[in-house]
Amino acid sequence: MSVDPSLSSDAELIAAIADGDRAALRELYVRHQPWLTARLRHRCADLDVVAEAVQDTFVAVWRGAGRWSGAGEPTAWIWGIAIRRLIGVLRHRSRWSPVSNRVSDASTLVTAEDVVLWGISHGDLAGAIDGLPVELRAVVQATILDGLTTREAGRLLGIPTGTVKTRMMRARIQLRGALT
Amino acid sequence: MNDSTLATAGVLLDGVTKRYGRTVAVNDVTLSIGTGITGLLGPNGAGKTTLLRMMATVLAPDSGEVELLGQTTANAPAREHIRRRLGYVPQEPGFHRQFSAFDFVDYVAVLKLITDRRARHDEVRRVLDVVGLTSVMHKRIRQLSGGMRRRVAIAQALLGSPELLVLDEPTAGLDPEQRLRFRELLSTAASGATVVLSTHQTEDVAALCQRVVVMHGGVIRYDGTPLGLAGLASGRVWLAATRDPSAQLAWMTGDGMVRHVGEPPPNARLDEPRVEDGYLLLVGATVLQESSWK
Amino acid sequence: MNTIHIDEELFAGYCELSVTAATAAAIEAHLMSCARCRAELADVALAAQDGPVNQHAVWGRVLERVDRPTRSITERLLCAMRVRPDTAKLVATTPALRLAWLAAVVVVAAFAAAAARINEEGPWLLLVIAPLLPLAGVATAYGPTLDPTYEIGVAAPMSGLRLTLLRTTAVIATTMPLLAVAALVAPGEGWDLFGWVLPSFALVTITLALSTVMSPERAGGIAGGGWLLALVVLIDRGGTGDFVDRSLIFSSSGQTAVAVVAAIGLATVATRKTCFETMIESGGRR
Repeated sequence: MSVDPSLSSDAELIAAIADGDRAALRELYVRHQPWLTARLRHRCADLDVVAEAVQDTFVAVWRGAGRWSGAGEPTAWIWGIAIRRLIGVLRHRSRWSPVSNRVSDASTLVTAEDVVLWGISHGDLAGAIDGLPVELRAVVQATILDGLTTREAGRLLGIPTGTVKTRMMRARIQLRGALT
Repeated sequence: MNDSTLATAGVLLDGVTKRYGRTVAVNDVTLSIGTGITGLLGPNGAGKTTLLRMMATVLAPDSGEVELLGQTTANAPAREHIRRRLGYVPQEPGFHRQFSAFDFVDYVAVLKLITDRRARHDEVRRVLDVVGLTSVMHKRIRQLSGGMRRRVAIAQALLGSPELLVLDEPTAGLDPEQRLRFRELLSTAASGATVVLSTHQTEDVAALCQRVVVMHGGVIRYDGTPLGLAGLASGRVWLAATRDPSAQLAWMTGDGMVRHVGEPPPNARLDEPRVEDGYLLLVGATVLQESSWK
Repeated sequence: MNTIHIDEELFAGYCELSVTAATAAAIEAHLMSCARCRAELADVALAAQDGPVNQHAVWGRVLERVDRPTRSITERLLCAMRVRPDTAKLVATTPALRLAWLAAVVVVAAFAAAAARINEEGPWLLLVIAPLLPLAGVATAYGPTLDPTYEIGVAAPMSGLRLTLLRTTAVIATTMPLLAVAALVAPGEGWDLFGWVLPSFALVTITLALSTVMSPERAGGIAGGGWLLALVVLIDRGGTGDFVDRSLIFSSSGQTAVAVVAAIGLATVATRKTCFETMIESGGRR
């Protein structure tokens, strides 16, 4: 209790939050809010929606900390909550103007290794991804990098599930074409 | 007491008596207490809790008049009015087992008729912050240490910034550091209010209270400043190299000298009296009996 | 693995959405596994304080939602039934609303109903036991020994009578329907099976009335004892038929008398209502 929360690991913080420790939540917020906000901005152009999703995320962490299994990476767990809260907020506002034109990614389609990614980010694959049409890039990003199901991706992007699947297929064909 | 202190008195007892069966717990007590911190000292069974319960409107006297914050406690509307400006920590405050500190204080805030939810939650946060429990306020109370539970109990008494604060043994079970923190907290939280607290700790009285009332056998035995209480033992505290076998009360102190309270032993020199010396002389016989039981 | 770290310029680009999609993806993948870079990003984001989202404002709103009392299942159920949240909070602490208590009521009622089915003697067990259940719930709902916050509650401006009646209502509203179900399941004809309803109310009001001079547990004990005694004494010894037929209490004139007792109890509570506003002295306690 008297332990300084800033010295605790993320996993320890989540365990303390499950016990109702408010200082631990504060520390987790300080550590994770900035990158979460930045990353969510790449998924949604509306700043109000992003702010609300971040807020929802930490409330959900507070309430759900007891359900965290303790296995796996806390950062990934928090991101999993955040991206789903973003979908939740969008659905709640029933405003489907979500994805900014700056949708990134597709790279983890090929490999999730960040080091490798660094190596190729200015190579052919990067060019291929950047060359994808915006709507295809968004689908690739939502399903592969953000780890959403096709249904969740459909909600995030405001398109039917079937469209997610067909766009995914088109994206694969284009990428393959660009790389060979 | 002059008229001006009477006019501002938070507590005014006039010939108050309370019996339980054949036992007279409080016997014809007349007392007026104004703003500041007043300590109530006395051995177990002296009637302190009964007196404090009457000061907290919890018990009605069998005879006599209890006036709090300028109003009588005899009729219901006036009593409700007093209760809105009163904070009370009972001797053994209990907690519902499923409550967090926040839930508990919020529950009391509902009892205190703070109906607007947002305002109530703000007030709950404020009092928990005053007692330094903000970071653990969502923990279940049973997960908290004894000292923290005491602070939770004190927090609920601070709801609504009461003008009268009645605390029954608030420092019982606190370790020395927590007692110091409590003194700090009380002296800031209670500024401008009438505070009455009972305690067994004469050091608390010396450190905190502007006034001390000693109760014994249902009656008031001393009423004045802590310095005055210590002064009762002036000229009656002695230090000697050996224990006088006929001494009423004597013990070996840290520096190897034997401290005697009462009659001077042979070859003794006078020592500076403390609050506890005066207290022991007042209620000595009972305290000695009690201690021989242990 | 994390020997390569992202530089400040790249972060600034990422925060301003001015990097290419592939770069953003690479940054994101790296962030997921690198605490140092997450901290670095936090500094960059902090430096651009007029940035997109005010993190202090968001934190304030998080706290607003976090710093709310947790609501128990009972409390949420009460709120769902349109009870005011304040009231729900006061009522939800009643022991007789705990799941364990309600389960006990179900078991006892089911046992009594089952006994009536097996036994040729009719539903006497149900009629005898049923009134004791709401009584027990009310006797444990308040008072110095069983309500841990009792003394603080008395010193608070909330009316003690109101609190007591709220909890009594809650006990009746949960226990009596369960008993009614048991009565419907039990064999037997018509209104005979509901002979426990009026006695239940009578015992509850008598308990409340007695608790103006003693602790509710003791009041409940006396009321319950009185009920059993009345069952034994008030019997038509020359009569025929089973226990229920011979008992004077379950005859129509007996039921009228029980209703009168309930009314007397209620009137006593009304005339002595100020007794709920100070501490109940359970004789002999300090």
